[in-house]
Amino acid sequence: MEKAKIILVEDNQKIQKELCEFLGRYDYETKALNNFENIVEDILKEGADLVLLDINLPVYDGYYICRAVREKSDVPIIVVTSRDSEMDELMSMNLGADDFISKPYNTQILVARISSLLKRTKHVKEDWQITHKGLLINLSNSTACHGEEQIELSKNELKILSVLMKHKEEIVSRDNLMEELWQSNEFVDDNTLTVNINRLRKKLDSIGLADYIVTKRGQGYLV
Amino acid sequence: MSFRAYLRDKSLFFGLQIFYLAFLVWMLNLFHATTFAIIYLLCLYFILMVLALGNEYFKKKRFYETALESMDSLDKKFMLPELLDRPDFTEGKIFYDCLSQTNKSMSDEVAEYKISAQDYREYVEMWIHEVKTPIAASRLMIENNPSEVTKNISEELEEVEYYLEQALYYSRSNGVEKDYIVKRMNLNSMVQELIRSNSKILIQSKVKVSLENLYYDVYTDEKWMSFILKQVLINAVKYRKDHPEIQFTAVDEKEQVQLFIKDNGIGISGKDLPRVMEKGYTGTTGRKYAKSTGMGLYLCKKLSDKLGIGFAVRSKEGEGTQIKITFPKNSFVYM
Repeated sequence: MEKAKIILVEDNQKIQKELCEFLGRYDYETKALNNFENIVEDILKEGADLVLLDINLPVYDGYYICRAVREKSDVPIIVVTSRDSEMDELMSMNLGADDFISKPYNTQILVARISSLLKRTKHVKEDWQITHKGLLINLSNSTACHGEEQIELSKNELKILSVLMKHKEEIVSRDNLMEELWQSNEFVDDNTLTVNINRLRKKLDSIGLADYIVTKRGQGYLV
Repeated sequence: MSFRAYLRDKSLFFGLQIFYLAFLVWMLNLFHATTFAIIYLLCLYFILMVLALGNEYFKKKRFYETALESMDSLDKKFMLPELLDRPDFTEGKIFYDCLSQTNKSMSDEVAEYKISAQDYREYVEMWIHEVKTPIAASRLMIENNPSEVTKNISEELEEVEYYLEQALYYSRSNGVEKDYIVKRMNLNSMVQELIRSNSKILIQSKVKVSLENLYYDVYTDEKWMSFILKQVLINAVKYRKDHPEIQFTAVDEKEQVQLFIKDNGIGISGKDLPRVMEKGYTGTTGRKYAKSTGMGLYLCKKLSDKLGIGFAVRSKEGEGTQIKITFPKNSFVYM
């Protein structure tokens, strides 16, 4: 699958560098633009899938750039700014921005907004399948297959399994798992998570994958 | 101004008049004027006096009484000169001019402070927005270098942000201009968003969260409301006991939607309860738990008042606290 290309328009060098690294880990191709004189032309030339646009910039401000880009292109734009009132948000939206995030952003939320915007604009198709160690999960119909055998997964089980499989060979802490569940509005508590994991283990056991999920005492889980 | 007080003011004048009249009568007697002429002259004199003094008395009485009445009816007493007409007698003119000048000089003084307060507010807000950039950069660095150390730094940063936000809204709450936009919001998605964005601290503190019956729309400003809700949420986390729980429920009343946020924390003592919304009031719990600034609930109340929303606290020490936020249903909040 081709990586989605994100253009960063941000004059703070450190944020630029860290964002490139951060988004790189989520499998996005990033490019930071530094010539603020011809910024509009440069953005249009790059043919990106998404633009992350800061407001406080040298030469032209973000609002101007947003409008100028929007006149010529439909590329999704997320405005990132430290101003956070409803007025600022409204103004960005009126100028054609697709989304608005205020600094300092929660990085998880930033990634979530980027991926949902990309999904909506159909430049990127979500990976609907994940495979690891002989187990294949299908995110679109919430099933898991091992060889010939197939099981249905509940919403929470699917989420847990997909998080573990996306971080394969890494330990994922219980808190992190809970946070991922919470991000999709499933505000489960500690006990519910344990119940979910146990049920998931039983299901995996039934298709011949006993001990697929390894418990690391005091640290978390690992596949 | 009573007539008697007016006469008392004129006592010297009357004294001299009587002295002069006695002298006049004595003189007229010397010149063999008839008693009738003397009485006639005196009567005429009295009539003219009464007319002149009466006219002066009623004129002054009218002016000063209007002044006093206007004063009573005025909310801002310094506006008095704007309400009065400049009188046509000298003392009144002087009095009026003094008032006007005092008023003008005070208005100038007040305007100066208003401008400097406004300047300061703008500076504080600018500073807060500026400082968010380095925080955002630090956040990303932490994210890119996960370790026990950066995790701790991240928690500290979160606290910095919490205080920054408080400062920002404190400054906003004092502003005279209206910088919020009231629009239709769904309670459920508002609360979900609140919990999602504070998931870290809730999970770490092992708080059990439940949402019930929140499917109502309310009219409010999204940003201000999420600030208020966050203060309430953080309080519930801060003052928790074992097995903390936070419950969000809503009730649809006739004219309003009520949102209840209930925790099972340490609660607020009866002694502190009436004062928790005062600025800077930390109470016994606040001092015991060290971290209270006494600003959270004060700001919640103040911002709620500005938005036209009700904000009330009910609590029982040792059992928990319940916050009730009341959203009016009428569309007048649009105005």
